[in-house]
Amino acid sequence: MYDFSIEDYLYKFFGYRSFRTGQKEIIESVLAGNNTLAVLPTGSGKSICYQLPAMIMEGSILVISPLLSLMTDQIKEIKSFGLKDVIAINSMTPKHEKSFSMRNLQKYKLIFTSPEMLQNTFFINKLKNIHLSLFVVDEAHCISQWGYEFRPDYLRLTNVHKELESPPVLALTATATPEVQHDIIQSLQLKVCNKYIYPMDKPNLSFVVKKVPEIADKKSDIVDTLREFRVPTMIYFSSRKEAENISAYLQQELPQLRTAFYHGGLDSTDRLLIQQQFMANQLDVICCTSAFGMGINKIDVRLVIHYHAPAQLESFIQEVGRAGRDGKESVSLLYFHDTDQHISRRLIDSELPDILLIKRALNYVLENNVTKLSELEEYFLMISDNNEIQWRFLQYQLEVRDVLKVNDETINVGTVDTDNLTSSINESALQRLVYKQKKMYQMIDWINEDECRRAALYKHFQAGFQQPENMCCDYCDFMWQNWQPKMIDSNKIQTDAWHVKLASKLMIKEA
Amino acid sequence: MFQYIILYCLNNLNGERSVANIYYLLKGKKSTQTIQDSYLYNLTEFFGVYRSIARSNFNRVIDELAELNYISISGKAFATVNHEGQQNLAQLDSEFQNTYFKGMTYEKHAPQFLATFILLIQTVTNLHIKKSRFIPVIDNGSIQTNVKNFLQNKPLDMSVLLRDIYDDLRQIFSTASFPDFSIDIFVDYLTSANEIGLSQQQIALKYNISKEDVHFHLFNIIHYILEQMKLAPAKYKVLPYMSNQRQDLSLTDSAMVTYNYYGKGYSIKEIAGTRDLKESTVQDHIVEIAYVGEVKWSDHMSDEEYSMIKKALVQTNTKQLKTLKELLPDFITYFQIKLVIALWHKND
Ligand SMILES: Nc1ncnc2c1ncn2[C@@H]1O[C@H](COP(=O)(O)OP(=O)(O)O)[C@@H](O)[C@H]1O
Ligand SMILES: [Zn+2]
Repeated sequence: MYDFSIEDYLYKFFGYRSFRTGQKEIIESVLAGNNTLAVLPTGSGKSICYQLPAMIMEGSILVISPLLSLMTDQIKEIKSFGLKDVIAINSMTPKHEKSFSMRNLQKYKLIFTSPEMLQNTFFINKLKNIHLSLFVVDEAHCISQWGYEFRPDYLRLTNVHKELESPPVLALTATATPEVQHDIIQSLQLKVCNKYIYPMDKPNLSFVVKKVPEIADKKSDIVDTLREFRVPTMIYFSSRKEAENISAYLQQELPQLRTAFYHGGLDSTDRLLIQQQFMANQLDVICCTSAFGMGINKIDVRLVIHYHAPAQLESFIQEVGRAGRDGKESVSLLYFHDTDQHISRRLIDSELPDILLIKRALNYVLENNVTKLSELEEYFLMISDNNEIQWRFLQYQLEVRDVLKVNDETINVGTVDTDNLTSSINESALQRLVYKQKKMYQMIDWINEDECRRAALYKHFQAGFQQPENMCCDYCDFMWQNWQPKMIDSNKIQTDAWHVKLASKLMIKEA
Repeated sequence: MFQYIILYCLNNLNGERSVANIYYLLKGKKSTQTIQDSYLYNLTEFFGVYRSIARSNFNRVIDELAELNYISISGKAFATVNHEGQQNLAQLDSEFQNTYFKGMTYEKHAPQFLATFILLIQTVTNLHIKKSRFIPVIDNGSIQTNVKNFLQNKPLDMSVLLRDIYDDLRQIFSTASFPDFSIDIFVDYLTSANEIGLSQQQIALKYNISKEDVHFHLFNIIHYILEQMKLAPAKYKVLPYMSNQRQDLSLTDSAMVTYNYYGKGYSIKEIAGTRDLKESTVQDHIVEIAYVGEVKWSDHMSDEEYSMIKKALVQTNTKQLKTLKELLPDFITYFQIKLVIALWHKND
């Protein structure tokens, strides 16, 4: 059918000589027109699984991705490979650009979009008019209520997929417990589906957990560690403030290290600059929140530190997965202080609305005859101190109870009894709370467990794991003195006059 | 620099406006009130110079100034500059009075120009080392198109282009006297193929100034460049080709529509009628237009009325409408007073 083998295409378009684990099987399944579920660890190259088919298949490929920043990073990367027929259509796209690209949809081989765009009937109608050869659901675990990043707006995909006459689906994710895998297939109503599940354990990674008696020990221990091991490092925090503070502390204590912080509160140019500095090895250490990492392709991160434990093992696996993408020996180091539990608890609590808030929101709807979703959203964000996670939860609950019509974003309380509705939503909130707490205790149990960390971590996701290539974990055999990573060369601090700096940046010799 | 600019603005406002007006001024809010005030109080240079400023950061600086006892804030959030503030202002004057902002002229163009310039340098240096794959640090389609168009029209050897840019910048920096560090900040912010630029946050840390200060340092230079391109384009090799965009009148959209009718000779009443607006709204548009476009006072008042208003203005030396209105006979309208202020201002 094709003149070239798919290896030829891989080389021609992306410059890679061979496929990585899983890619070939998945691409063949896609090219054969099958529904495909692929669970591949972070960094293993999931995007090639639809980018390559986009070069070969007739028609266009629709990619639904939850994160705007991720989409733009990807598009930039794809364009940098020379594929120009890509477009991202999302709520951030300027209006005139959006209407232009929507009118010319058939021109694009790859169309990236966000779930919220899929309520736009104009857009859906345009999509109906083109030949869609593949329907890609990126970060597919978001569709599962039990996924750790459940996104109610992903539930729309089911209907949209049907409306578009059910083109073959490719669902991609990096973390999915068997429970979640089942949910993905169920939600998308895929009767037949090829599954490609690859183990997510990384044999080049060693696990270390350090329990500290005092919270302040965390930062002094980080300083000691980084003084000894000058390697590309990411440090994860659960709060922006803390990321900034520790970043400042490290800059002060270890001035020879180049440290910066990164979180969702920075503006977009600053974010891009920090990311690229890290990629270009102009930064050694990055203090960040979970906002950093998606779409980061730095292959030589040697050390991933968790200043706080994440709220569940799934996030932990994702985040440590950013270490050692080049397959070389790397270390995950997690700090834990007994009071950290409370931080996680508070985080989880803050993600769900309490009964009073639910009641206030519903009363507002009733008393003011609210029929527009946006109106309720505005009110809810106001009374909840801009808590968008809670808002998404409430929105979903209204949706499944048919009070909210997704297609036209209208609310219809009609004959519903608000007291019943309040308590039933509250019931769901409590259920979810219990579920999240269970997840949190799983994380904490892992920290406290008295057995091999590797075994204890992966048993929740898969049967067995690959033989570690280096040291395994602090329970088995880990010793810092046996870790000998390649260190960053010490760099001299630039104090050149501006015109010298300018000439160097502009790559010219000064006259 | 931020603190200086706020003190400067507050000082000009003379306690006659609330601090929020400065926020709107820096943001370049397209409202008749903000535009008129910026003319009234001689603050057009700062109009829209910081369109992305966050309210919370603005408030933070106001609080800091109050805490330092540089300003006092009245119940209605009107602020006056205290004695200490005046002294501080005088001190900072020596450092910052040579700023080159021309907000009313370049507010829209300046951010685009900076972004285009940054991306151009990243692109040209990458092309220079034959690297066509890089991730642009400017995440904006229209800026990327600007750069592409610019490069298409200038099929030059990249090393020549880089040398020209370098020479242009040296020329720029030698003709002006920028505050300390300004040039270093500007150079640190540039991204090239061999070095990604520092973020504004990092620059703030490096020079121990606020993030807002960094913004003002950068844009002071950009406004200067734009002005130079207008005044002496022949002295530069590359920059003029990047900045040849038409300037637009700083008018609210609605005033723009009014301007179109007005220019065709429609009366205020007619415009209000066809546009379904209140006459007073259209009058406000006319005042707005008076600052930037063609409006004749003789269309809206008698010679006598005009000279009365003008006299009151000179005598009281205030621009507070209420005071003026009380001083003048009842038949003189607010509209007429505002119009005279606008026209008088323009001829200044
Ligand atoms: N077959 C391959 N050979 C070499 N590099 C690859 C291959 N496939 C993907 N990559 C690279 O691996 C990196 C991670 O790919 P990506 O698709 O972003 O991973 P994921 O989405 O699974 O986290 C990218 O830089 C990509 O270009
Ligand atoms: Zn072990």
